[in-house]
Amino acid sequence: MALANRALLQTTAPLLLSRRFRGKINVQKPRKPHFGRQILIDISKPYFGPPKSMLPDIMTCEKVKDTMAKKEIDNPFERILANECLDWFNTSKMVVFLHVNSISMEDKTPVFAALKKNDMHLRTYGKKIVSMATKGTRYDAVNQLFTSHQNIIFGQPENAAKMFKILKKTPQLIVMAGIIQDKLLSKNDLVEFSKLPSLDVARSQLCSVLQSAGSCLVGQLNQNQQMLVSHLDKHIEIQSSPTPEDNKTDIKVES
Amino acid sequence: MSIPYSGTIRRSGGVVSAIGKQLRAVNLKAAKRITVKFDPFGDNVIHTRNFLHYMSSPKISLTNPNCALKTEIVCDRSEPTVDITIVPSIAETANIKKVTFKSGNLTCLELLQLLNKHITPLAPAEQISTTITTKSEKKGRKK
Repeated sequence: MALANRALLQTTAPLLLSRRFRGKINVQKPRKPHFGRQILIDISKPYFGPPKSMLPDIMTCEKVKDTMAKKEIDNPFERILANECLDWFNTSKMVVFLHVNSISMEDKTPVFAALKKNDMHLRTYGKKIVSMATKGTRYDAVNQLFTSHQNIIFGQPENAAKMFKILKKTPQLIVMAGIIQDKLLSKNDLVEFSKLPSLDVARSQLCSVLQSAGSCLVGQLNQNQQMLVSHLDKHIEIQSSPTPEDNKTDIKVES
Repeated sequence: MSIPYSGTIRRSGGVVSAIGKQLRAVNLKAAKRITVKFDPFGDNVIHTRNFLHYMSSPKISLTNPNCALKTEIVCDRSEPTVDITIVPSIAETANIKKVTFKSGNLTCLELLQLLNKHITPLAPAEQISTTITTKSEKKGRKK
């Protein structure tokens, strides 16, 4: 057996030292530990503060946990979204705020697509993001609208009529208010604005109104002369046409 | 010496579960038309808007497909209201034509509770008819 083992790798047997064999454990009179060991024991001792009964009442208040825990942590993604939201507010001349009832994405996607085709963007931003974006700016009043579920449409004022037409088909999206060219309008004002003609037509209407004052005056001044001219024309007609009343017309012309 | 037990055995789940419980109990069969009117810039419209959001969910509108939910936006700082017109056939028996909730000072939960108190009981009872016919009866009928 030993001869065979000599051919294989030989391992040395471990050195065994006995500490305790079936003896009693000494708890009552432990021996003094080594200095290094004692240092480690002293460092790792737990520290218990004064008991709650001895503390002043201020320190035993439990509400502090709730107020302290709600510290606002700065979230960089929220800041980015707030910047994006503010950009949208600044670049679009028309901003419309909608109240959203329960609607599935299946029903919302065609509305989103129809608005996109007309150069309008339907976006959702939460209350916190919008308040971060608009606090301190001139859009501050808008925060009052953001209490339930809402969406925002960003676009240009020319497409207001089309927007109302698209939203008519979805009763779940309700127009609340809007900002057009930095003016906050209510829903009725928005509807009126959408019914207005385009800017060029409005300008031409203004021109015609301004012109009408002058042309009215000119017409009134020329009225008498024109009446006289028309009467004379009639007389000439009557005179030139061969009728038995020729003598009478001759007398009239002379007078 | 022990004090006899006092207090609740079960804890309430909070406002959200109370709202959910009320929503499950809602039955709009007696309502013909619901009109919610509010001013979006008002201070006290949060709960009305939330109530409107819950009412517009498909589950509740399934209880009565003929009931129309209409929203009116006003700009005159008036108080938010919820008007419910009762179906004429039920209005005759119950002597109520219209129910109006002035929701300026009501929370969403209270609105739903009032709805369940006044509108849901007016709904006509469903008649469950289960007729089980045996094969021989059916054969007899065919002949």
